[in-house]
Amino acid sequence: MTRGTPRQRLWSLQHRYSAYLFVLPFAAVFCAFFLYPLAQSVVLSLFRSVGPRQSRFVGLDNYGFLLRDPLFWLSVANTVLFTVLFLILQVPLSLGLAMLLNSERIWFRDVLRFAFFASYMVGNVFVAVIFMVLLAQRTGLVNRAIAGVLPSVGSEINWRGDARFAMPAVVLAALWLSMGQAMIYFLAALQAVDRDLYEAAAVDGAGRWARFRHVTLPGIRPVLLYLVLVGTIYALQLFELPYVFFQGFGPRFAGMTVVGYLFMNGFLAGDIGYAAAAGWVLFVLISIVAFVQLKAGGATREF
Amino acid sequence: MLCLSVASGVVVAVRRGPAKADVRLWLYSEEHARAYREVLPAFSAQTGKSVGLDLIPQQSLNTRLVSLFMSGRTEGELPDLVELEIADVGKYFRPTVNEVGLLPLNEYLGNSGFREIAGLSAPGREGDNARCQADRRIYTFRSGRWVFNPDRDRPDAWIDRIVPNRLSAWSKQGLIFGVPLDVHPVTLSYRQDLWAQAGIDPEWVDEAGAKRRPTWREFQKKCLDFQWFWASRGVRDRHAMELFESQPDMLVCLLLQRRVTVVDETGALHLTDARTVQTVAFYAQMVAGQRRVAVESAGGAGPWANDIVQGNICAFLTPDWRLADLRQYAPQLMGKLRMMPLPRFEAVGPAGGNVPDMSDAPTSTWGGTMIGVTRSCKHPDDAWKLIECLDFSDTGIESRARNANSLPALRDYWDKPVFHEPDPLFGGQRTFELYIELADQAPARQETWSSTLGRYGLGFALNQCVAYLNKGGPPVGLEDYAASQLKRVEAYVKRCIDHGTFE
Repeated sequence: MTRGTPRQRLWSLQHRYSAYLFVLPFAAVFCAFFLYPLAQSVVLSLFRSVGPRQSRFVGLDNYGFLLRDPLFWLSVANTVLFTVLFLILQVPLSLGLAMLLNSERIWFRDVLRFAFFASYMVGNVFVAVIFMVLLAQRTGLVNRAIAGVLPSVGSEINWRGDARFAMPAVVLAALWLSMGQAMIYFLAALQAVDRDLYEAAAVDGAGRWARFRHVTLPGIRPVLLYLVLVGTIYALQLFELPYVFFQGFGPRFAGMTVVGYLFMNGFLAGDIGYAAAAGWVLFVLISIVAFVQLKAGGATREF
Repeated sequence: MLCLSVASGVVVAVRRGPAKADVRLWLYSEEHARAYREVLPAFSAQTGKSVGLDLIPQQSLNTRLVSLFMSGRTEGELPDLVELEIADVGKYFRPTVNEVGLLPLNEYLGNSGFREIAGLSAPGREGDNARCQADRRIYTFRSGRWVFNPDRDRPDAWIDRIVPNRLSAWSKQGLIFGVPLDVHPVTLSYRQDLWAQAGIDPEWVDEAGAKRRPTWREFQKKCLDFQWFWASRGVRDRHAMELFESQPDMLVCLLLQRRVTVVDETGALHLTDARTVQTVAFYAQMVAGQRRVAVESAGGAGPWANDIVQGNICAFLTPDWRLADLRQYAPQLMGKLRMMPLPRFEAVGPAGGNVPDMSDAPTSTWGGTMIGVTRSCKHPDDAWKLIECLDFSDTGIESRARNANSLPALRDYWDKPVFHEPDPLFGGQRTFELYIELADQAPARQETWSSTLGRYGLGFALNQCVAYLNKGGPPVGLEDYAASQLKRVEAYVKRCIDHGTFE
């Protein structure tokens, strides 16, 4: 067996290692900007730290305190409540909107599609500011409309100051922001469903509901699962929208989410180590929810 | 695509950035930036140093600064100087004093800005010490005139010339980390035209033929009469006053009026003090229940000014800076407003009734800004010169008075004409003169890293009390309810402080 010429050896080396070389730039960036900070944040969460040169190892004390903190659990409850309300409303509403705008009987479909999607481009902070104005007491359009329709209620509903209305207000704003985006995904999925299946179902005597249930839903299922998953992650990471809308955490902490809790401790009270611990608990929370969703949807094969 | 990305990367890498300024200042206030831009050319001409102003939104500024301090970076990204808002500063004092990211300024404040007078006919305030330019001797202002003081070896420096109460918020263990730019005394302004139409004078109470200022409870009674007057004429959206229901800022302001700091410098909590309980309960029934007289305005300065223009809100707390918003957003209010000192609360305990608690200040303080030098600043002397130019000079102070409607923390400048002009918004009332009258009585405010937690706790207790009243809870039991909520909150905040305290 001969070792081959230098040129052949070079080709052999290249053949063996080229894949690694292609991956190397990404791997380097991934390690430097993702894995290393992640590892550092794990370390940080085990310390009480008040500055670059002042920290004390406290082991799992930050996690222990966090799990016993009623405010943390309130923030979890708020986040879960928001997630549930958001998904229950967002998925069917945006699917309905997509089906409506997929219909050939609707005029100016393209304009309407763009109009509904446009709200997604403005971002959380801008939406929060818009809704601060829309839902303002006395002067806000929503309250004025309510006062016009229901004079006995009047225009004094304090969406930002009354804990009963705080979460509905945030959900409303989040829906306004995100429905258009979900609608676009659904539209794409609806257009990918084979028309022949509808015709075959119609020939078999299937009504509208039966066609929707047995043709449309299975056809858009991967997108549906994707949107539920992405929507859940968005909801669990909610922060800017309520923080800007309430200019804080709302009445009786009704706008305090898990990320808000993290922010309060890390950037308002300056306890970065504790905030890192809260971040890791949030990570675990999201991972569990995502895993359960994927398992429940039987989607692991489809992604 | 690859070529394009490589080419653009190369361009970005080799492109020369903007010229780096000799001194960099981060600030969040647009009004301050506007005022400083007027002064900077003179500074650059005088010192030959260029100054870079980075106007950054308040939250972003804090997030970046906290991150940079935490990362231990000493140069490059950090500015030489930074302006911080009073509610944000506590977290920067979390480390031990030698690890705070800002430079202690005691030396600069104590060894510069010596007061000089041209002659003995110069104006002064009781207790001022100055060097007379004519004979270079030190004089003290006593009983309306300058008297030679052989016991003093130096005149007042900047540190003596600043309202003392304004230094506490920016200090830790005696070290001053920031120069206060303002006092922000608080008054109560009202729509004079609407109150006059209702035939109610909110400023005075007649008692046995003599006039005196009302207490808060008496003021609330006037507010109820005012609302009844307008409601009986079909104007139901007309509310006597503005008070926040969802945020504790105004409650904190009223507690400061009562000399209560929620978390003091030692970290001790004052949430269950008798005055706190009384104030929270009173505040709650100002914003909820049968005796409600106050509502929250829509967020932002514009909607707030609009509420006043529309007559939805007819009295409101006014720190000096709030008038700048009114001037910008509500010029149509010209001549329709008047300003008065804050009513005092009734004394706690058996002496209560309508007896005003004279230990309350007739004012409070709301907001505040400091300018500090970061430890990474390579030329702190230049930074200090810039502070003197921006914040201690005639032009700098006048510029901030015009742009931000801000009364400076340096008493000497209160004599300047700009602070004695009639205010057209207030029908010619000299509003700055009222602020000056109250400024020395403005309470001290202390800030620690746990102040934010204390304020959130206070806000939570207030929300609970408001909910109690909204559910029809009897006002008689409100104080007990407030006490129980504040006790609960105090226990929680104390636990957080115990957990988070490093030293």
